[in-house]
Amino acid sequence: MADTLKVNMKKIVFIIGILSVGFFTACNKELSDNFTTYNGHPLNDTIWARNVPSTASVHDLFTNLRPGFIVDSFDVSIGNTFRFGDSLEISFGPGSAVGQGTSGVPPGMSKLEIMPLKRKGDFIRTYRPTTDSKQNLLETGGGYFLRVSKDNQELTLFKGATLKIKFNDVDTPKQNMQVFYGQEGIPAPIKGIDTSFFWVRDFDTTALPLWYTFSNNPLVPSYFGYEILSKNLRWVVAEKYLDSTRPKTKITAILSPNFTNKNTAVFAVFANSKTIVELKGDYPSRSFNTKNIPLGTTLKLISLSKIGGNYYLGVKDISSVAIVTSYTIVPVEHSLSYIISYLNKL
Amino acid sequence: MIDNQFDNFLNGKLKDHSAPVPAGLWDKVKDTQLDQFMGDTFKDHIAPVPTDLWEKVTDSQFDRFIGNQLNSHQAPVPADLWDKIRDKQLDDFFADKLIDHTASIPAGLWEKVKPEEKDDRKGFFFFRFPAAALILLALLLGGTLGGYLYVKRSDNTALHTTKPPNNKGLHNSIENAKIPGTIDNHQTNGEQTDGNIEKATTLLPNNNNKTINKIESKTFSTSIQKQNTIIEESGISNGANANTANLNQSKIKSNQTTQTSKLNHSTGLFITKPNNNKEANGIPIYTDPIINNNHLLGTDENEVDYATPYHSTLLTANTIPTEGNRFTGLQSLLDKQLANNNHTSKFRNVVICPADYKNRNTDLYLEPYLSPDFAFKTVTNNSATQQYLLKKDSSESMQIGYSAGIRLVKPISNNVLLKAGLQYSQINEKYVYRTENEVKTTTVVSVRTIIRAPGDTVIVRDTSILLQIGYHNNTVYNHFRSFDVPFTVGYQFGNENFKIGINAGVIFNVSTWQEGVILDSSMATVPLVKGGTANAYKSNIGLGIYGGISIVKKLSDDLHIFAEPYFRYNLSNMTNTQSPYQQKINIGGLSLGLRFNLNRK
Repeated sequence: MADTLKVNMKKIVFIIGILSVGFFTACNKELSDNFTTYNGHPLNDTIWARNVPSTASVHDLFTNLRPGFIVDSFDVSIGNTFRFGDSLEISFGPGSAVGQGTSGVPPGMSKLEIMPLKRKGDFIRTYRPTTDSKQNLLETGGGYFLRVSKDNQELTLFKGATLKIKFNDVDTPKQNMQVFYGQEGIPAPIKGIDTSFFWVRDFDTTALPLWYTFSNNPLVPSYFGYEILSKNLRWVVAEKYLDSTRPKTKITAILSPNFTNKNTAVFAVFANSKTIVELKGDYPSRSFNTKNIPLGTTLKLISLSKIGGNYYLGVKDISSVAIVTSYTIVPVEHSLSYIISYLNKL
Repeated sequence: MIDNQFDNFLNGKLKDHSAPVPAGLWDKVKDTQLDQFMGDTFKDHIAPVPTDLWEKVTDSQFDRFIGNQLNSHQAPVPADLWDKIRDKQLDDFFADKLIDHTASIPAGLWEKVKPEEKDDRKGFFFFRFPAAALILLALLLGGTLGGYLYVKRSDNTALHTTKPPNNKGLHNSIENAKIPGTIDNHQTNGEQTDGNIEKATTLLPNNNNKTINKIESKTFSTSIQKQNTIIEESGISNGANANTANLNQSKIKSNQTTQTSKLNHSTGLFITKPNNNKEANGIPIYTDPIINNNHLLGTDENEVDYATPYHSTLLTANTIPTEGNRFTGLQSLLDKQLANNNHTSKFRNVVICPADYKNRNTDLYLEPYLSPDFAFKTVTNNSATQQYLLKKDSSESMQIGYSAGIRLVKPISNNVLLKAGLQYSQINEKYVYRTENEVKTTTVVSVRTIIRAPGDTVIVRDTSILLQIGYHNNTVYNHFRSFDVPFTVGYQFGNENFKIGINAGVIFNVSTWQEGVILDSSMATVPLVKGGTANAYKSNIGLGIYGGISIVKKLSDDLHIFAEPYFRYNLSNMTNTQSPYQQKINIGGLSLGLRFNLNRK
């Protein structure tokens, strides 16, 4: 009887054990999912373009990044000198601006729009890398975009007339700066990126005179800058070719497949000079690259992207450019204001 | 003549008359010449039986008359009679004559064997007499426990502990119980046999194994083979040894074969072989079905043919308790019961005893089972919008669930079963909903061919993260779990191997809980949180009605397998009163399980 009871107890324990295992293994929550991508959503567009269309989001990006204008007005026939503190002085001579064709000097007040290019971030925000038509690197001391218009009709400088631009350099002024003008595409796009833009040195390659204003008051900064007699309106800067005897190399930036040449722009920002180089999108390799980068240069690779309504900023610090295959940039989504703030601090 | 006038006349005339027996008459009688003459004369003679003759026979008047006349008469056994018996001539004679004979059982026999129970069957005994049931139950439990302890103790005090120190022969004979033709007590009767052997050995005298082996040598006693027979030995004394007193006051249980000569095994007819054992104090002792352990000792005085024993359980109910002192000499012939016994033992009686209602079904089953469940959901609107109900309906679909449980099954008769247990159930519900603007992150390896310089082309493998945006079709399996206590009553019928039953009862819900998601009032999918505002379900769904049909197949004596399609109808809604809708889930399933017999006898 005792043996029978023992056997039965074993049976019961075995059965309860089986049921317990079934019970506890059944307590797991089951969850499955079926993900379906949206058709036509920018984030799902990983296709590179041989030629970036004007509707690409990268154009929207730089339209939104572009700095605002300083607007003023003056009578072109009389001329005027605009002073913005001690950092900027612009002087128009009488009748120095005329309308298109044979319209002559427009009467009355004309509108002056000023966009400063004082920091590296300004050159990025305006998509104006400091390179010439042959991708030679330039070091800039700053510059301005000046536009004079009358009744929405843009004026040009009268032939042989000049305007004086006296501005300070936010960094230490460099010697042997020259006047460079921006060569825009024809017609220059109103919005977005002028992919044909490059800097062209003035025929007069005389070094720009430097000016300075010392201040013994610690509350008042001292100013150092350049004085340009420009023969053109619009993009005028003080620049010089980056003189480097070091060998140059090509650098390549690789990003995630989400970041294509339709939504992303990549720049190399030199640390020790005000030099900004665009890394152009390379369709075959789905990467961004540029050449003529001196070895050993300290720089940052900065990617700016706009995918849908989202903005992305990627930064890759390179302490010394070497002969390497590529650099990987991992963009991070940020707000537009954050990106602008970041660029302004470069 | 019928009125016995002629007999009375002759009796009066010849009462005191004596006449010499002719010379040689007894020789003729002894030589069966008279028998032969009478046989030849009356061979074909037919005479009607007087009207009341059978009644006199039945009323044992004839037996009593013959008994009185032959009480002190002794006659030698013919020389070759035992040889004929041994050669089975007598057996064959009776067998040929009686093999196809049937005889009705005398009226009242069954009342003596087992008084008819008054069974009005108006209700279950336990319900009719609850106090008696409790007492009976207590007695049963006490008896069972006591018996168990007794048997347990008997096991511990085996033969060796009770063996008389100088009874080596007895000890050897019992241990060597596998004498040809004898019973292997250890194999046939198990523990109880061991106990009886122990008792028997204590009763046996140390120096005279013949004491209780005294049989009236001149008596042919036929008997139904009996086992487990108790014979009172009271009134018999044996001064030969000190153990006699114990013998006289003891009941001797016999689980062993009676000392009989097998006459016809198929008919169950046995004749005891006379032996020359001495009487105890001059009183002949009849030892028909008693154990004769002395024979097991292999004494040379007893040449014994041991009958093949029946299984102890087969004849228990068919035996008639006999009292030893009624078999003393010819007095036994006067006993009506013995007469009936002798009468019935001469014929092949196929006796079917009435059911023993006191010997209830002791089975107790344990049933573990598992069931796939199919849920049937009904939703009624309280205050929900039509849009809400449509979205809920399109999002939810019932899935196969399961139940698992264990229950005890107590048969209260051969057909009626009571079941109670504990059951775990899980109802599964598939809930599908869509989430927009989900960003999926995938790690990809991009392979690029980069031209560093003319003639300097390298392949770059870059591991990066690919982001994709889209929508999720989320599938969540909601689980409605519960612990229940089912109580059911079943009626089953069929044979031993295959039974079909109908079960019905109630299921008490102990606890219910949910896991998964639910559509809240703002049409958003939110997790089910216990006590949360969106949780519309109760923690106890109350009572359910159960009905099922079971099919049971026997696998072994202790194991059955069963399948039971069932339906559970819940009486209450599973949603609370604050819910904008009322939801009820009923379940149909197929229980598959095993039935273990925990208490089979």
